[in-house]
Amino acid sequence: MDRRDNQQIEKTKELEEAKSETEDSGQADPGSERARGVSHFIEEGGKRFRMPYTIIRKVTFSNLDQNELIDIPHVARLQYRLLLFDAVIKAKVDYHKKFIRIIYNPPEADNIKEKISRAKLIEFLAGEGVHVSEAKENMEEVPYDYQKELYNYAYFPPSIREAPPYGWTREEWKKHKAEEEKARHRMEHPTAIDKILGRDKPKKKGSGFKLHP
Amino acid sequence: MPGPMVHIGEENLDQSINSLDTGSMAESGESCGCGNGSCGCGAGADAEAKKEGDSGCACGGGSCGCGAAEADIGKSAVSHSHSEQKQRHKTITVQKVEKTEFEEVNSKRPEVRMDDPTNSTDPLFACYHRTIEEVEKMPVIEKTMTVCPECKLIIPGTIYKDGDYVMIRKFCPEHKWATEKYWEDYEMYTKMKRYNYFGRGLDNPNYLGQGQNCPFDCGICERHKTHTGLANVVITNRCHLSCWYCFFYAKEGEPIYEPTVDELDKIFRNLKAAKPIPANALQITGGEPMMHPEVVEVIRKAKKAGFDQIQLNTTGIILGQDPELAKQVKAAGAGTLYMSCDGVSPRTNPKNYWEVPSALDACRQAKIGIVMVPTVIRGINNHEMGAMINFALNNLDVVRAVNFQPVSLVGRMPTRLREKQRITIPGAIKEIEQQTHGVIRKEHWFSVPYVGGINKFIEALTGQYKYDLSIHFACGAATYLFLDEDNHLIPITEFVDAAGMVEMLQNAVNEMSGKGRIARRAIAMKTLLALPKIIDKQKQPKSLNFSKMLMNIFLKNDFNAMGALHSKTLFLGMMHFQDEHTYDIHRVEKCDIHYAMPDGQVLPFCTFNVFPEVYRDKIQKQYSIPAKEWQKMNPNWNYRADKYIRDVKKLEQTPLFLKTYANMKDYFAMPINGGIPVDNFPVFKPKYPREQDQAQTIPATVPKVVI
Repeated sequence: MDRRDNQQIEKTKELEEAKSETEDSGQADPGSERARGVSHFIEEGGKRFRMPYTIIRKVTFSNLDQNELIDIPHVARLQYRLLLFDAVIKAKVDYHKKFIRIIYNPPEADNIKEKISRAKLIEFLAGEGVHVSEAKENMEEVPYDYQKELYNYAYFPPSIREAPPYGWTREEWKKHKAEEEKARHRMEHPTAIDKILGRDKPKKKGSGFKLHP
Repeated sequence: MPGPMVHIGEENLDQSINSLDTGSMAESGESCGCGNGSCGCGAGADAEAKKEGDSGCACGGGSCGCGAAEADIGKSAVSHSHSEQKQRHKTITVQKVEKTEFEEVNSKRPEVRMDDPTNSTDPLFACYHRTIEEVEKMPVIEKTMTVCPECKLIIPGTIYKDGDYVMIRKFCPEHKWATEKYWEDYEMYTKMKRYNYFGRGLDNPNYLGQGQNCPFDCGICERHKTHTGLANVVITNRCHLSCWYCFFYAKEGEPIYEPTVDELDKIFRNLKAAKPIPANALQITGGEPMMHPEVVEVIRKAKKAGFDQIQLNTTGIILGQDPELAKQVKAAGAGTLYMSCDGVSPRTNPKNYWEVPSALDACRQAKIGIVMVPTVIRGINNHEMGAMINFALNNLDVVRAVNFQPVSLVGRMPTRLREKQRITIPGAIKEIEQQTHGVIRKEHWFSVPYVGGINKFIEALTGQYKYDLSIHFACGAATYLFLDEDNHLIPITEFVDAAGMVEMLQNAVNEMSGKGRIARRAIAMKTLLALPKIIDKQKQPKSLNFSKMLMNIFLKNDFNAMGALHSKTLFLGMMHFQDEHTYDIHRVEKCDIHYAMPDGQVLPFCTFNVFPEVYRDKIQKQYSIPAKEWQKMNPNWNYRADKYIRDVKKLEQTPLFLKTYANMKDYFAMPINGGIPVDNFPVFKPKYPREQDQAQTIPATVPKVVI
């Protein structure tokens, strides 16, 4: 019997189970929350978006023993291993600042996704050789709004820097950009002179630089 | 995404090994886990599959240079006459320090004395079988950071020269040494490296972080150095095929990831909001994206969001069955089909060999351009690369490009199987040179960041941001192949001094620095007037005025003029995605092929797919619907109904099939192109030939002409 046949047998069993459950519970309402794989939705401009988490938890263990963290490669691997938990949404392990920050889905959270308790996380970290303390000065745990702090940031990230185009220094670019903005403003709010000079019309596609105008 | 990588999980390991064309090694015996046959025990790949169990090489010390040395040698149950070789192995010891049993097995390297001719290995694999002492003596090219394939520890990697090859070596304190082919041509490596440069990244990265723990800090962070060049958006993980080497589709019982149109629209707008350069090319992928019930609406939304180029990453099977749908897709805004197509014979392309003719025809009718995307696996389909180019030339009215993807070997895999299947960009380019008998040579190829010279020039001139292909030089290579009116095949670098052009443009950029607008224009004009000097008009295609076209590109300040280039040419590309064995953090931080996720994060291809357990699968699972819930929502749906069942007999008897495969020309066999047939030109041999065609089937092979 080849692999495909094996798969088919397993699949058939699974399908039968799935079918029987479907029959037992009746047809689900396609619009129901569970049916979309999540328990919450948000609305933006009259459209609904799935939101797998709402308020979850963010725990920060600080003042860690740097010897237990070993070095940056081990810290990165610890971060990777934390991320392997489905219930850990984000993790950050910082070697220099000696802290571990975990955004996780606690058992009491109002959603249908995988959950993990803080105790389990601490136990896991201990298994990895990092012993964290739950004392007040070494641990801070706060509620974390998944939508506001993670989802919205990723969808509407602010500009944190600005690089000039190639061949321009920062100063040259600032001057050039100011001129461009002035020209754009003039185009949007033209004076009578601008209209006479044709400054209110958009430039043709490209720079307007022509060898033979 | 249909087949960009090979994922060898434990469950499909056996199958992948069985599908290897092991050739004479496979036939010669099964006593040893060695594939290179140097020890003389010459076993096939099947033996390697058993290495985790109770088989191994009786010669013990791994002298044959095979990966089987890493297996449990002590348990070898098979005996054969290797006493002389055993004796020789005993004299060589690499690791002298005391180790634990675990370390002993993992740190043991195959030992080969290269000065001993009886120990010589296949030169293709020799680089894998050096002692660490030998490896450490090799000239170092570059240092980087990489990852341990076993435990994902971020470790330093050394890129070094081994003969003609460029290799990467790494040392994990737990899993010891690992070496892997990085590039299969040192000369090409140094040539391509000249065009490497750092891009600017995003001004508004989607994730706040400096990427100290890269690649486990991903989400496009501040550290990333390239904007999104090609955005991939997965619209479903359902697929109608179940390719053995693909892991990117939902197996039975697994959650279904299929975002709604509104959710996808939000993802598209997120990509367009990137600063300073928003994504402009979008690839709608899956699974099989055509299985999304609202795929046309999804494309329409993407077009409305502002994407100029929209590709569909598909097998083409559904479009081939429904040409009207192809027209709808085109009308909605998708101009390109990014079509998986791994070969030109049923053996190399079991995925869609029979359906390619109808897919080509549907796209021809709908005026959709096709990019053929073969995933190249050494020993599986690398011998048909030249034939695939020839196939594309035969369908140049609809095929715009062939984009080869050397395989990315993700997942657990025995060393020896990996080294057999590994092919890198220069390896693939050399195969093409060999198979086309020098019509397309390795010097015709340039790395992708080469194009950076052109957009830097335009930016310096205009002060406007331009699309920036600042990816790592080792990630991709490309060239253009012109098919002239008289069927003459002319690679672009035959008549354009490409290196000279970029040098000229770079000099102009340097000269412009610190100058005012008028001075910049004067410098640009001087440079543009000198451009015709780099074109050899005697050699350029008769149907093309390249210098005029180049002027249009610079004067219009966009690449629309390139459209004319595409209509007369075949674009040949190479894109090599990474895996844990070749992982180079310098490459991933410059990646410009990004995946946009429903939680707003944007991820480079080589973190998304190489560490799916913490990125792709994890995030998709958060937004997926459990299979049982999916079934409740779609009462008529079941897993098996999704699957495509092929009727080979029916497909082979269509006139389209005959037209596509039986009447193929061999452009390389034409006297103007040297007159030597391309290697492995497909012999048309349908399994179920039509009765009326049996008598008149045209032999596809062209007599070989020896010059």
